[in-house]
Amino acid sequence: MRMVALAGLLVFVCFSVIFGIFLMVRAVMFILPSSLTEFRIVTDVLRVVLALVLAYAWLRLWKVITDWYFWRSVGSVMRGREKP
Amino acid sequence: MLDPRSTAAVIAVSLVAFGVSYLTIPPLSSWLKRRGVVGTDIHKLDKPKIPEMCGLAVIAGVTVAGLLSSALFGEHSREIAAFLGTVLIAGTIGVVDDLRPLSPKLKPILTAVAAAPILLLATYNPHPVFPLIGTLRLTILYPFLILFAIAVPANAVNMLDVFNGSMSGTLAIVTLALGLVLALSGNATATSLAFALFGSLLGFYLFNRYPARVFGGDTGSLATGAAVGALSVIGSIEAVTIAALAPYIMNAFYGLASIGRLYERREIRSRPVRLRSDGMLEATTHRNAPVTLTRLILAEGPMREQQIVRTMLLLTALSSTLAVLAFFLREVP
Repeated sequence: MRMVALAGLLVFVCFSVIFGIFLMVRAVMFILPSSLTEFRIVTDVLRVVLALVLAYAWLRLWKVITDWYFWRSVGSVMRGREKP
Repeated sequence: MLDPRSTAAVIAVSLVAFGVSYLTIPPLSSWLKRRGVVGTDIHKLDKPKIPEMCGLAVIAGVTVAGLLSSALFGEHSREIAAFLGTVLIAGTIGVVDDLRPLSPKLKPILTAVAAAPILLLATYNPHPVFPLIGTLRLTILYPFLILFAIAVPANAVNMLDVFNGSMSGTLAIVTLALGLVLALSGNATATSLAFALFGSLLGFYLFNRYPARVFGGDTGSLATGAAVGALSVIGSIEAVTIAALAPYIMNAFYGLASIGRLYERREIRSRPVRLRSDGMLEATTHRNAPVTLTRLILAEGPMREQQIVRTMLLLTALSSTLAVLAFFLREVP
């Protein structure tokens, strides 16, 4: 079970990297399309900022899932030890 | 795919790297032990003293094999010079860190400097190809990203070098996957560099696996981590490298997110893992200890050191397989 849970976390990380970048590029291009060429530099800077915000939100999601798995597992091990 | 002549050359380069690394370790470790350059194996009950900085043997293997590669693939010697320059600069930073520990903020900055040969020799393509997306045009941004492409893997590999064979074994699997991807893409020079690193790491792993007779030290981990970063840039396989390094990324990110800043293992007061009197390792329940990959592995109960390393090797094999699959997704923009 341990290996399955860890492999699940790893697959989630790998897929979230690949699909996360895909979604980020798509989301950023949708919100700030290339047609806005009048203020090219401003658009580019905003794109980088938006991509960073999305990346941060996605990293926080990793952290929430990992913390949940870790403390849930540790809790069940502790409860198992306390049983007579 | 590589042609038969290039394939033979890549195999020769890999064997030379293995031989140099494997044969250098015994005299090097004896010399380092005599000089008192030793570290304590803290995950053993008897706390043995093990020669440190033996990652120099990996650097020697990569350097000799790189020079051979330069002779065999002469028309691409600029790429080889950039790769070796990055490895040697990162290795020098590692030597300094082993002899006189650097601050956790200074180390990433210094390792970013190791990207200088790649930038100066312009051995990069600012239009990386990502799975499902296709080509990204990052002409202005890409040179800045190279600094991260070297510093992040160098420090992430350094952070996972915690158990006997954990760094050398997992990174050997990663470089094998990167080598296969580069071979599939037909880049003979970068393939030879990946297999030079693979051969060197394999030679080192035979001495570094449980129970370790040598430690690579920061010299080994920073140099090999930077080498993987350099391969990703020179070979234009950025997305594949990110996927293959997933266990390292998980470990580094979880550690950084738990502590909330850059940190050195030495300065952590609440240890994430403790050694029990029966020789097994277990995760501590300190709320302020970093949730590292090791602590995650131990979340469901204690394990022996070699079992933890085996789990890390399996996870890296899985991430490397996904990385090879990601390479084929490049064709689906």
